[in-house]
Amino acid sequence: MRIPGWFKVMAVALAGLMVTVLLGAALSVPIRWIQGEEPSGYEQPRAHYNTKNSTRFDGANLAETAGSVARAVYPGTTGTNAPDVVIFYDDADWQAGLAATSLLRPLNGLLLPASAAASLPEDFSAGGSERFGGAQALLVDGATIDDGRFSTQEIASAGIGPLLEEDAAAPQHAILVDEADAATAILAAPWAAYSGDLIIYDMAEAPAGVPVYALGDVEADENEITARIGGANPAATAVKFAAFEDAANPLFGWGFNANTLTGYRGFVIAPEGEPGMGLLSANLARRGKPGPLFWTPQKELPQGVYNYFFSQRAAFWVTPSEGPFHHFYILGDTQAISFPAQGEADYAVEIGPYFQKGAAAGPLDLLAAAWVLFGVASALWIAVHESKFLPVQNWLMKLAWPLLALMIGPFGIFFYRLAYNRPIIKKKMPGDPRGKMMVMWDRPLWLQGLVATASAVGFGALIMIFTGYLVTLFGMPLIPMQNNAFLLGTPMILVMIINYVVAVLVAWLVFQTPMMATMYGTSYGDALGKAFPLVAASMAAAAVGMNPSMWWLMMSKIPMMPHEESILWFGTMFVTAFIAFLVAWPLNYYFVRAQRKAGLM
Amino acid sequence: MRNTWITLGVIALGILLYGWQGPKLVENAYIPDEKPQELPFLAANMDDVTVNTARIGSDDPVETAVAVANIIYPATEPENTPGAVILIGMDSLAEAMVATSRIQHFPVNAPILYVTPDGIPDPTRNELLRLKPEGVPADRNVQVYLVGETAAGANDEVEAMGYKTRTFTAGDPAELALVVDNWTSTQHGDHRNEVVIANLDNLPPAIPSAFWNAHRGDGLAFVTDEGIPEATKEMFRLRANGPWLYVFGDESVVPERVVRELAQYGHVTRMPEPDVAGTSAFFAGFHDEGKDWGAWFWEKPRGMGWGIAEAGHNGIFANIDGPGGWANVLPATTLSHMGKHAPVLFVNADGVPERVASYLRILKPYPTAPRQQLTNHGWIIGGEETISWNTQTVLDQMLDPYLPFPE
Repeated sequence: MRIPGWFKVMAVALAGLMVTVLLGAALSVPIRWIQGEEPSGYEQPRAHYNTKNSTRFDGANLAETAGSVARAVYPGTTGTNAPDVVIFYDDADWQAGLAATSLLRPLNGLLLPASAAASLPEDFSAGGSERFGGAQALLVDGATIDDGRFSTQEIASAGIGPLLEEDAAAPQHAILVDEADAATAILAAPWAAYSGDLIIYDMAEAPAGVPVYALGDVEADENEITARIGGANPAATAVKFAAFEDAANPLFGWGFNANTLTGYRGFVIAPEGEPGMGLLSANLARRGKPGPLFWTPQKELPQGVYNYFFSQRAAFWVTPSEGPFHHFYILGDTQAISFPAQGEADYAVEIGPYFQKGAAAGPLDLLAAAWVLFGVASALWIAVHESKFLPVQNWLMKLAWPLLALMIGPFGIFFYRLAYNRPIIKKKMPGDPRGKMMVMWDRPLWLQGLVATASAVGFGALIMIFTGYLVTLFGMPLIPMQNNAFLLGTPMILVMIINYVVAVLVAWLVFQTPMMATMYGTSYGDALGKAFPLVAASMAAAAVGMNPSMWWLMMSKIPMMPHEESILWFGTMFVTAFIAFLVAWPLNYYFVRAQRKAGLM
Repeated sequence: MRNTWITLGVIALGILLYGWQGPKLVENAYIPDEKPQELPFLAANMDDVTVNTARIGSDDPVETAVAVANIIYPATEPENTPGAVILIGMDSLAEAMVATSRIQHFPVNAPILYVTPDGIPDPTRNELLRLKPEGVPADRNVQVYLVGETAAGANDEVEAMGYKTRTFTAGDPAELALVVDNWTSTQHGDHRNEVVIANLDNLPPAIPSAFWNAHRGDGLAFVTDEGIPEATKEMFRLRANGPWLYVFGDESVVPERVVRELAQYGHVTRMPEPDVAGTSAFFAGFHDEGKDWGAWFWEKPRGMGWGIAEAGHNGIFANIDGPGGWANVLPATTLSHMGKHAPVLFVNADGVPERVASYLRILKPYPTAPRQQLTNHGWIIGGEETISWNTQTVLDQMLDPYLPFPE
């Protein structure tokens, strides 16, 4: 019989719609990724500005932020959590402040810009430094403060090196920085405070025999320095310094890189262009938890810095409570660093499973994407090839092959070649009064089984995945049950049932019945009854292949059940379609053998 | 051939169009048009920070719940937006424990917010609008769960905001636990065999279990001084291979004869402590693992308890005797679910009980090289009347690698 033209158009349109929606949805994943680079929520109301992986020192200016840091690092409540001495530098003279960071550990000190004296909590006090005759505040290079509560003494930044060398714990390394490049030089502040290493602006200041590390592109004789730590700009240098380790000298450097076996990371983020804010990181590092410093513009983290944070993402082996746990310290209010920028940092280090390392693109996502891309390329190639070289191929098979190839990744073209690289047979079309000839391919039984499976799974699995997509998009149903049949109410099981029913109905009415009618020259109505059990059976076989693997992959193998907005969802579904193909093949072989299905078209 | 190119062209155009806008259109349909108003700004949450601790919330439970949701869910990208929000009343600790223990965990991924018998307080309402929960795909994209009679009363108001809801109510807490157990077991296609046992006549010692369950999603069932309620027995029977029961409290909390009765249904392990500070410290260090069920070709082990006994972990510090009572504590369970994944430890407004301090001595980090430095973090739940700044700084020092343990 002849299938009317409108029916063909409808069938092709339906298949086209399914492909459009599925591939469009898969494409929306990278589109989202591109659009999603811009976080949102700049205007959202907040009860506070902390997050699970970050603490903000919420000052409107340097002095306020400094006061907040002072209170956090030295609460002065227990007798052992107060500073001995506060070191003040002139707000405009960051070079003096940076030089003084080396003093924080040996003197149990707090480093502040002179303007911050007024922002210190009323009950804030310093115990007095024995080294400086009980002075509670040191004024570097002529800094002045308007605060009567401290007994003060003046010191010169040039004298800090010699002063420390007298110390029992003299600096073990020196960091050479450029006094004209605040953004790069200040990156050394937290390390100097943490380690007691010396900051120098000139090689001549380097103590004899102490390794010198040069930061950024500061001028230095490469033979005199131990190593240079530098990137194209301060942001890149910050990343280099945080990750830096020296195999020959393991005591220098944070070593926050991928080689670290297990590590808890503390990062400090300061607003770019504000040296004083950056210097506050020295006080935090004094406590051993906050580590290297990074700069950021107000709106978003610099991409290179964000990528580095992401590379340091915490991962657990068995359960997330095992750690490690990372934390950020944000300096300044949301006018200085926006909340969405803080949100980016927070998300970047949120602990996730080792396998797949959280929700970002892991190896599984890449495999899934490759599978989908292979499928798309194969489907396109087959669609063009069969239109060009197989004009006599039945229209339904012409539709089935690209659909199948779309789902089965790298295997589509291979199967297609197996099926059509065969001698042809011409046969008068049964029931066609005009005696039109029908072209078929001479295939052994196993290949006929393959072709029958291609048409069954090409349509069937696509309908199942399409239905599955719609159900997931609009939310899977859940019917709570209190008896041994509770599994029947489980969302995944309900989805499987819905997928199967829809697939049988659509494949039966739109695709398989016309195929049967063409093959045997019967009317559509007559073919309906004959096709139904075959469709139901081959869909059942496909479902048997598809559903357990879907359950296994989604419920247990993939750490977090993927949504329809993840490429993993499509990858998983398409891979299960391939498994469905393999499972349905033997059944279709049997049908062909029993002459209930044809595999010659 | 021409038809093929036309068809492929139309499909390609459709793919681009749908990829650009399609899924977003559907998602936007779930986001209410109403914009959130200002939230009460909790200045103490910004002022009372130390290197190792941060304060979350105030002495008002409604605000504390909002502050916890703020800290866990920045809601600036899809990845840090919750799947749903759970609304509960402030009048039943048992209901609150069911909600936090059995719903919060994945795949739901939700914070707890409070409603009152008068409806949705403003902070809760604005936080609901700020969070814009995405919906739970494994439960028809439900965005708000309402647990207990008080919360269920707010259902119409929540639906009017444009959110999809599901309510859980039952005649009593033991039945509510069963109703929610049926729902979550259906969702997972499995019943959790590890089940916490709490005594309805003395609930506080069992509160630490709610934090574990927010983290892990294990079971929760109630008993009373009189014995085992029928609904609880039914919950045990639904576990084809029998439950493993973890009783919170010593004999003064859950009587010995009740435990003997429980042993008829499953293996019983007790957290033998008389009060909530004791069970919190005991349970933070407790871990049980071993056989659950299976056969030689496939075996499933059981696992229960944090088992934290070394540096490099975190604590949620709470006080049940503060102005907000238990209601100021339960929303903090979300902090066990995400972020620092920490157990709860109970302290007083002005001091750290010895039971907790001695546990923190075990957790105290020590200086090593930066790349392998273990650090701890502490969340301080509530305002300064609930836990004072002084206590916060003592805890900060207890958690610090470089400062001496304060005596």
